Amino acid sequence: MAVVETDRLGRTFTARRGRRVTALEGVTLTVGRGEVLGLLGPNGAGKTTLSRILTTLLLPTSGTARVAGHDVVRRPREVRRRIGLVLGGDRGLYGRLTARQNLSYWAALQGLDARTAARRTDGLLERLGLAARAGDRVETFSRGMVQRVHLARALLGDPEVLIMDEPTNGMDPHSAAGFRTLVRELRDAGTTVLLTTHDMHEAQALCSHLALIDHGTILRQGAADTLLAEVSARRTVTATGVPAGAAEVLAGLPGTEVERGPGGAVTVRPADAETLTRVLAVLVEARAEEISVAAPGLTEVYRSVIEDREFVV
Amino acid sequence: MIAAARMQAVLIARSPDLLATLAVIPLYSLVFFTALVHHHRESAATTVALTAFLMSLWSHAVFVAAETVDTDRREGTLEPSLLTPGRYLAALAVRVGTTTALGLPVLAEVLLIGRLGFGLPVRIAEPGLCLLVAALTALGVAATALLISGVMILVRGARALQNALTYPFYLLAGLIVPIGVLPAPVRAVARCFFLAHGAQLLRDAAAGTADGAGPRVALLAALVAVHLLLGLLVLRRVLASVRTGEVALHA
Ligand SMILES: Nc1ncnc2c1ncn2[C@@H]1O[C@H](COP(=O)(O)OP(=O)(O)OP(=O)(O)O)[C@@H](O)[C@H]1O
Ligand SMILES: [Mg+2]
Repeated sequence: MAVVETDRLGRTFTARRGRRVTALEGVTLTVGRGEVLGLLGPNGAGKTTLSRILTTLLLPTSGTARVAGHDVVRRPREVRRRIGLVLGGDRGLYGRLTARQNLSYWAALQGLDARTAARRTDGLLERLGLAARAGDRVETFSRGMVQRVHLARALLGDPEVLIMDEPTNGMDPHSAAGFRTLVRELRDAGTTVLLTTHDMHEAQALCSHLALIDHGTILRQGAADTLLAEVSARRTVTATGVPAGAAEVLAGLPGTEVERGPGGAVTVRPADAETLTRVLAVLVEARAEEISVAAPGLTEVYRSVIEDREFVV
Repeated sequence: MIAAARMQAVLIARSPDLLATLAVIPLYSLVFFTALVHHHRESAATTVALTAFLMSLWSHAVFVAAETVDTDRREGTLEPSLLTPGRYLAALAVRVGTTTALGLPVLAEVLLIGRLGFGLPVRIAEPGLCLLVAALTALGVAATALLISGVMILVRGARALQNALTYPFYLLAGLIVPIGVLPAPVRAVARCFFLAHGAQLLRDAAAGTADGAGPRVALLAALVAVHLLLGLLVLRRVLASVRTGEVALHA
């Protein structure tokens, strides 16, 4: 059963001087119960706009969206009762209040009675490893801790759908790992998750499904394994101690990308299996060291789907 | 919504800037009292004290309480709050009310400054009635703060107008000169202004000349109620308009 369902969803903004900006266009998407959908795309792709529409914070200008069985435009109250929103960044909480005071206030806003609020607050502080600092002001917290308070707030209402916009932005590796464990637990308990992230490793580790979005449209979507299988032709070969001559030969192979680093390090992306064999042969012959071949990851999927933006300085 | 009041009280206690306004504004009463003594108009001491109180209450609302929503926007707390717009609105009303209520002790403060600091004959004939009127007036002022906070979100650059929201309203409330000397059209507007009623009733209650105050208190309460309703409706509209994307969630 689809928990999140959008049909040709679109949103345009009227910017200054009447210029129209299309943030989303024709987005059709389904997320089933217990799925973790990773929303990937470059800056300005429309990810936050989509999250806002699904959480009823923004109205679409075309198309429809249903979350947990309710239309986001016509039944926003029903939707709000069933979702949790996690925003990235270190804003969004009252810095002068303690973690516990923040959660109590947000619990009251969500209409929890005092007893339930206290019970859930304690439970979440414990579960998210915040119990020891629960009485400290949030403004004294590190980013990762602030993110955990954000997550605790989103979970206060025991949501069916969790919508997260760059939740691990700024978390250290340990915190991020803890976060992933928590998301897996939630998923196993049947929570549906929509996760926006720029971290390909995180997406690969967590997401059962992926949607790649750019310029407001979905370019590719599907189960993570399927998408990964599709790009399986491109593997990444790395090696060190490659003589300049050999690197020249590699660069000359048709359709092959070669990046050169210090100490004769090279990263090669051969176009197909046949070229891969030739690349390996060249490297072995040149007595290169630490030759390794990596199966394509989400980074490759991303790079093959989303066009490269040149950095404009 | 005790949670909202408690939360706001903690916020205020931990934000010295919010309290500073209340500490600074009564200083105006020093100016007023000094002028009074210099011109040998000691008999007007109570009126002057009440004027200082109402002015501080009003400016506290305009400059501090009205900032609540905009502060939420700046802190990024507005966005998650809008997931529960109804309760957020109620919480805002309570929070703005809590902040405004902090202005009430200023009444005692200015009276004490007048009596102990200047030895002036400030006196309150009917303390109970005074307190009731002061509380009602504070509620009206809180409603004004709600109204302004809505407008500040909606209109870019409304902040520049904040300053203009003090003296014209003091004039309209009869705090600077008696309403009777204002031009007729302005007088008509003043008659619908809760602060003008509150101020007059407060002065009469202090002087002990507010016989049969019942209907006047009822009128004040009605004006305040209308004002509060207006403030809530405007703010609700503003919060709803955030959804259309015309108003930025972040500042
Ligand atoms: N309120 C608004 N008014 C005008 N334009 C907007 C508004 N909100 C978003 N946009 C525009 O819509 C487009 C999509 O923005 P959005 O924030 O959804 O991107 P994003 O994918 O979340 O990017 P990022 O990775 O940087 O967070 C951008 O071009 C942005 O400038
Ligand atoms: Mg974004």
